[in-house]
Amino acid sequence: MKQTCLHSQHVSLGARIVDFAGYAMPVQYAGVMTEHQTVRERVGVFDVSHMGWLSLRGPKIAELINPLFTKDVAPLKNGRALYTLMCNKEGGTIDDLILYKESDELIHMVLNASNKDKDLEHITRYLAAETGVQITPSFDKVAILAIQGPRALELLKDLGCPLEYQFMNFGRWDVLGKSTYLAFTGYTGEVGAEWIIPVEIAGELWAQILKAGAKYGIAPCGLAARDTLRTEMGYSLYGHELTEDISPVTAGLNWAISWDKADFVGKAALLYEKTAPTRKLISLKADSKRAARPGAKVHDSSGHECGFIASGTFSPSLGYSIAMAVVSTSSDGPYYVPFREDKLLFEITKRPFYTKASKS
Amino acid sequence: MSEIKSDLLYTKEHEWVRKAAGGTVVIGITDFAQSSLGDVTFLDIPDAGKELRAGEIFGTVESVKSVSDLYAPVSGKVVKSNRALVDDPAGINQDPYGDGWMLEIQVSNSAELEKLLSAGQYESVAE
Repeated sequence: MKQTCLHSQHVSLGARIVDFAGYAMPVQYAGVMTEHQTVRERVGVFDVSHMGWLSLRGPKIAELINPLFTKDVAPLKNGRALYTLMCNKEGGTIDDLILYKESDELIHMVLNASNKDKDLEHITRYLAAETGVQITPSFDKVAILAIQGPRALELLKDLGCPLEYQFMNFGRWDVLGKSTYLAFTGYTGEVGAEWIIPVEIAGELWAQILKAGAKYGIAPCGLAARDTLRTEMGYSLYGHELTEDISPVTAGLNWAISWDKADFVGKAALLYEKTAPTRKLISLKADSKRAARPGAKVHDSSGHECGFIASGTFSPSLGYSIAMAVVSTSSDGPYYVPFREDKLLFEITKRPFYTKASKS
Repeated sequence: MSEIKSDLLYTKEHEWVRKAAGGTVVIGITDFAQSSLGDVTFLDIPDAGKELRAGEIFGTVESVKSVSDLYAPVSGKVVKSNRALVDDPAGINQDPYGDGWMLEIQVSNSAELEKLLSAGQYESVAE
């Protein structure tokens, strides 16, 4: 297994380590419930350095790569980040990602760890005929730390962050003699940032974050809490709500598609699906603490199998079971997931499951 | 190091058994089990009145990242079921040998108690 540059820090903090996308990653430290609550109420820090930071440099680079993405990248202003997807010709999802426009000649992306090699190959092949483009993957050369929670911005100010907060803005921050990027993005539903740091200074900054964060009650948080937090927000996770076979239209991500953009890869297939969808992602909640697990079959109330669970978990903030499922458009709720001697009954709800008003 | 109580009996499936008065036993899962699971989010155990057979699955305990079956350590009838624990399973993590008790069972075949592990024998299982 590979390791991030902060692996020994996680081990000394007592993290339970698991294999995720070929990396030894911290799944939890003090426990998923307390970590989840810490992010919702105070501030947590996540090491997501297994993800892939990729930079593309070239004249009018945004226009050049625009056809790879569902969203129109060309109007993106310098210093802005954008959530978008890359699709295949059939409309299936190659990856979902955040794209950062630094200038007309320089764009960065954060790619899912499980897809970064595939994405790099896809982009490289697309740009093969372009001689003026530099493709620079910084996989394993940068650390990526997510600092998330109501106290995150205060913590960043204490650390000397020079950037003014605006959601989805990003910029350079020189610290310890090196160039870093800070983006006001996140995957938890709380305010915060993701910090892209050269590995040489990552250990020092991780320590500074924990030290300066102590007065806010900071905790290091693992992948388990990351998953419960994003599920509560109804955010898609590649491999669950999005796959090579599950399109952004199925996943209900119409807002991440620029329908009036000139042709992009998968556009025809997505347009066709939009007119005649056969599957849809729905949001479900149960009056139970029992979780439905990804892959579990979903049945409609007459007993017919009509889909599968994409993501499912006990929601720490809400106190009950929530799920997202891909079901046939001809099916209707309520739905259930069968267990050995029981049925877990779900009613249809809307995402986000959790809002500030809904906390229990 | 997980805690093992010397006055209890154990199973290979990480359950503890305490002999109580009147031929009943109280059961739960061990400190090792709760630590491996992480924060328990769901518990499914039968109500009082249910008949159990030794070695059979009687319920489920879940955490965010795992699901574990619960195995009856002995045969008998459930005389008490800890419904308060079902409503709030945190007791399993906080006090696995106390508040985390799950069932009290009227033992139907006391010879089965001989098959359970002593604390010393459980120690080598819970490594």
